[in-house]
Amino acid sequence: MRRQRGLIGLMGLAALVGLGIAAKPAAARVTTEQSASILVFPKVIADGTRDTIIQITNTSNNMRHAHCFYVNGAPTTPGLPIGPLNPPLWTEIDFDIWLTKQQPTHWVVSTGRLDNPLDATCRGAATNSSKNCDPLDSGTDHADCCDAGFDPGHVPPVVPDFEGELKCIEVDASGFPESGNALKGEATLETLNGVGDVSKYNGIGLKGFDTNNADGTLCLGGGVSGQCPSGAEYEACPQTWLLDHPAIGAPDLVVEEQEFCTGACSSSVSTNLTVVPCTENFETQTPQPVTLQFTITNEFEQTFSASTTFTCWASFDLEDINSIFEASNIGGNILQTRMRSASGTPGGVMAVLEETHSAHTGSADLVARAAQNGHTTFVDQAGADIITIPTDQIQGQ
Amino acid sequence: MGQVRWAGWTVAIATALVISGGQVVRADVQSDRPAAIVVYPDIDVDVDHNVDTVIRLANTNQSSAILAWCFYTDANSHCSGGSADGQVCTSDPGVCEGGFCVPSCQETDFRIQLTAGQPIEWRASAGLADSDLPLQNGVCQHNPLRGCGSDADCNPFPGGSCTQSNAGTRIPPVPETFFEGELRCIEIDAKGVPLASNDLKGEGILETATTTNLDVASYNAIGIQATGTPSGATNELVLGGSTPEYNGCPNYLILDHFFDGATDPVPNSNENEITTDLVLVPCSTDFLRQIPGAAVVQYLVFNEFEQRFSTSKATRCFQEIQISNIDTPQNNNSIFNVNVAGTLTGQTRINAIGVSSPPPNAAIPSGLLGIAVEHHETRSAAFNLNQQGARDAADTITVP
Repeated sequence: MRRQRGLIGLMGLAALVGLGIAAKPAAARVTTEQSASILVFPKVIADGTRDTIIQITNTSNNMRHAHCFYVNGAPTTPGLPIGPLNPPLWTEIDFDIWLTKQQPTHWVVSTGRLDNPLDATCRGAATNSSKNCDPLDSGTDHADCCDAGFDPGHVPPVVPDFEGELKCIEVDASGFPESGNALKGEATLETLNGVGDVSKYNGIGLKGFDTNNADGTLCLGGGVSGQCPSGAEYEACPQTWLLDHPAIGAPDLVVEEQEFCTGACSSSVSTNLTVVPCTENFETQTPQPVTLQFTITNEFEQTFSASTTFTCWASFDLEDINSIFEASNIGGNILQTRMRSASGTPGGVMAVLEETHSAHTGSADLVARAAQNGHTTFVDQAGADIITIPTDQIQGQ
Repeated sequence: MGQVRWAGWTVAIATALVISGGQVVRADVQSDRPAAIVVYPDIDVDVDHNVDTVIRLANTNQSSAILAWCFYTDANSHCSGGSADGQVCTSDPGVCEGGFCVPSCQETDFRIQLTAGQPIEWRASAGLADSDLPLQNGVCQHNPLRGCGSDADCNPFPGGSCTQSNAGTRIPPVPETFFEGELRCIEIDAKGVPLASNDLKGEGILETATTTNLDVASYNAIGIQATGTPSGATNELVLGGSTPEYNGCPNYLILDHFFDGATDPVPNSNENEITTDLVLVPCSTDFLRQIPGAAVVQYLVFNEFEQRFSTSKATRCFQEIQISNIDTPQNNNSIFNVNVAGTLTGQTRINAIGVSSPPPNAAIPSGLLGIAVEHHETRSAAFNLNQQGARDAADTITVP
């Protein structure tokens, strides 16, 4: 009888092994090339000198909904450096979008997009017309071709001098978070007033799991806990980001080799890093500081380190983090930087890089930017990151 | 009693299998993780027009040096016969007066030794060799004044090992001053056998630099991760399928884009006209017999009204094409043109149906990888395509 009880126990264990496998989703991390349930655009700018176009697409064959948050990380007094007397605003506005099956949509961040079914389509524009959309009409009630298509809802314009992130969370028709994994997106950053430069990156996605309990506490990775009774509901944030970039002040390899680049000609490259924490509480709106650790290796196999702290949102020129990123200090032109949040600080981060290439050709000063999604390692952040949505928002659709 | 026990086990194990069976471990090609194979789909060089590509490659392994075997694929077309015999005719077949413009798919390979954690970069038009290498030689650990390329150079005297270096690396320039094609690097061991280790990452930076314009666009090299389960011949790398050595290529590529001819909707921008180039390369390639992969590509296009269009076009070896030239040479009549599509942006789902063909244009069936380059007249931005699913059929890369 005792043996039989033992066997029954073993049988139960076998079943629990299966349950255990089911409860622990396959290891997977953030993605920049697959549809997901949470979409993060870490760098969104509409400050009068630059603007951003957001593109989001429903890759499924069903209607999908998303609850989106703009988080404004601009300094209280624009134009002055962030500091104790000039803290970031950390203000949030949210809105809902819905997309029919396979529907792509877009909007300009500074203007938003009205819910106006009367917009004329671009088919009305003459063939070979030089301008099928008048950009000054974007987001207005006569946007026509600029906003043609099924409007995804009323996307509000951001406040002037906006610098921050956009985060969209897939929800069901009632507004409860769901793991549909149907959203993908891109952000295009444009330089205004005659420059016309563009750079583009993919929105960073977090896939959802079947364990999603549809409450306002979204658990990114981690195990079962009081806050996360069903364990991880979404993929974990990565433990480490791998970022390849030129050292600050390194020459632009292509410019320097051109025949015209002699005498007064010079060039340089710099890199900007934008980071947002994976953990965000939209209810209390009290962001916690995150300390970032950087390990930097140059092409001569020499390794250095640096660190910095940010809260809520930050966009650093690397030389502002530490002068070791400068080519003259690190002694190399191309760097591999491993970035992770320090142990003891709350959770992981999302990141995007943007390089600025500058050239003085003798006849002109030229600037061009290129954004890049970083790489991540195969290791997850150890604990859970939590995104908290106010309850009245998730039931408000 | 025995029957009861067996029944109990059967139920328990079946329960375990049913519950766990739903969790399929995903295995996709990824451009945001280190990998054993990295593919740069778009390498452009045009020396006459100040176009070049900066290639970045890094070893993410912090403790070990690695060796990469890299292949440039030159997809230029050349004139055969006529007054311009041998001249590049990729962008203008009309230059082949009296001859034919013949597509080609020519491979050039080389090896790169990367030290632990080392990033390197080079211009495709120039390559990297000799004194331009960051660590041209190592030194013997027992005598730092003695240079070495391998441990053998330090033995028998002074003994010990040689420090890591780039010794053995010689990166040639691309074979032509006008070059369109791809670069593919495979992690290998010292004997040249492909290694199931995911240490490589990279980026491609497309640049045009003139006295009045600077344009920079960057994309991540697409990574194909090794699964760690070798199968078949060592020179035949199996991507996906039933016994994958590497992750499988995607079933669908998804491109979000502006329809060609759309006016930039950003107020106070230059009101530029936006066009998009799509770059596709095959997953399967036979570098041993110089046979490229080929596919008939099905394009399913959705505008912002959820209206659907479709078209298809065959591709072999390499394809870089403005999207409104996929279905017609007349851009204004294309389903990818803004005036035809009716909205500024669209989603295009790209599905490769692998096809084979006999010589002279031999090809093996293949899935596809790709990137897109969005042009706002003189400025541009590159980005990686999204992916969905994995192909049922395996792709193969055969190395010499």
